[in-house]
Amino acid sequence: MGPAGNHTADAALPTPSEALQVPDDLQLVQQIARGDEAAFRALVDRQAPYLYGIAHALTGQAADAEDVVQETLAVLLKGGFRGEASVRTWLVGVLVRRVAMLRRAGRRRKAVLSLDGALGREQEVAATDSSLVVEAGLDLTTMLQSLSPDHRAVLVLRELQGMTYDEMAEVLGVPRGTVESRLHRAREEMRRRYKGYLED
Amino acid sequence: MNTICNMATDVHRYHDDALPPDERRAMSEHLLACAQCARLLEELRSVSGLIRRSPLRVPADGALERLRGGWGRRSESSITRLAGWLTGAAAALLLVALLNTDSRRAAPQIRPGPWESVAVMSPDDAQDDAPSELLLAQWMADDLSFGIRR
Repeated sequence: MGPAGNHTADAALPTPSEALQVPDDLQLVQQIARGDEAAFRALVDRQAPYLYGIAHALTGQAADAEDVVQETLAVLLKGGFRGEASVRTWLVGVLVRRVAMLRRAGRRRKAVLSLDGALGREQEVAATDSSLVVEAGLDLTTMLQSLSPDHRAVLVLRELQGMTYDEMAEVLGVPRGTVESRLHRAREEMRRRYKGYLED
Repeated sequence: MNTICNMATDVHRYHDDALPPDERRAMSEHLLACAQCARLLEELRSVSGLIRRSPLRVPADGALERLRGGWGRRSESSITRLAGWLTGAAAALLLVALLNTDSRRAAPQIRPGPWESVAVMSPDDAQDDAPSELLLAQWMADDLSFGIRR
């Protein structure tokens, strides 16, 4: 509260001048296009952890995840972004396609994770609290590894990026009907495998 | 027998906000009456929530720094691309030059050489003002045939 007893702005919020100095993702991309290395590093710091998490959930491998994120950022550096979506959404779209290319190239290694033991133990528990997900070590990677690559991709694009069916069809290069079909089957698989973790 | 409601597909679309307004209203009413579809919608919401709440793996130590290093690799790739273009341009120029050379060779001027002319020429047709090559050829032909005439 200010000296006159008036409510002032929350001190945690940036002042207008401070807010103006923090570029948003689109501004960073524009600065990168003008050769600003600092802008690239800032964008990496902002987006790479999320991209890595997505990539790891899709590939199941740390090395592959880092590779596809690096390739995704390389596409950005080549000027691939045209403003057709938010920067993050565009990056995830590129990343999903890169994962598909990686898979076609046959560089996939055997998945290290095995869910069978974990599921066998956790299914005995009738979970009503989502904190059990964390306690069971079920991060997104673990959860999606039991699904096919196509099912992982549609769940990531829909649930984490909120893409529409048409947007997903464009990213994946498949018809809209195929997207819906994959999404329905993916969710059915998730419902079947993680019934004990679904909230009532 | 447990039959599946024929509206199940539209429950997914309803959950994804992919129905046009009139169909969405119709589905809202259907969900009030169909326990099966209502249960399906709840499970879809739970699945979505489960995925969205699941933590993501974090990059390993050093991964972010390696990713930042992509800026340096951008410069290298630019040089590589430039080298590729220059190589392609040079190859194109070489191809054009080769084709041009071949086209010149393909259409030589056909002229009988002096020896051929002498071979078919009658001695009476030899002319003093003929080209020197022709005179030389005539002289050599006469010299070579001297022994035969003997």
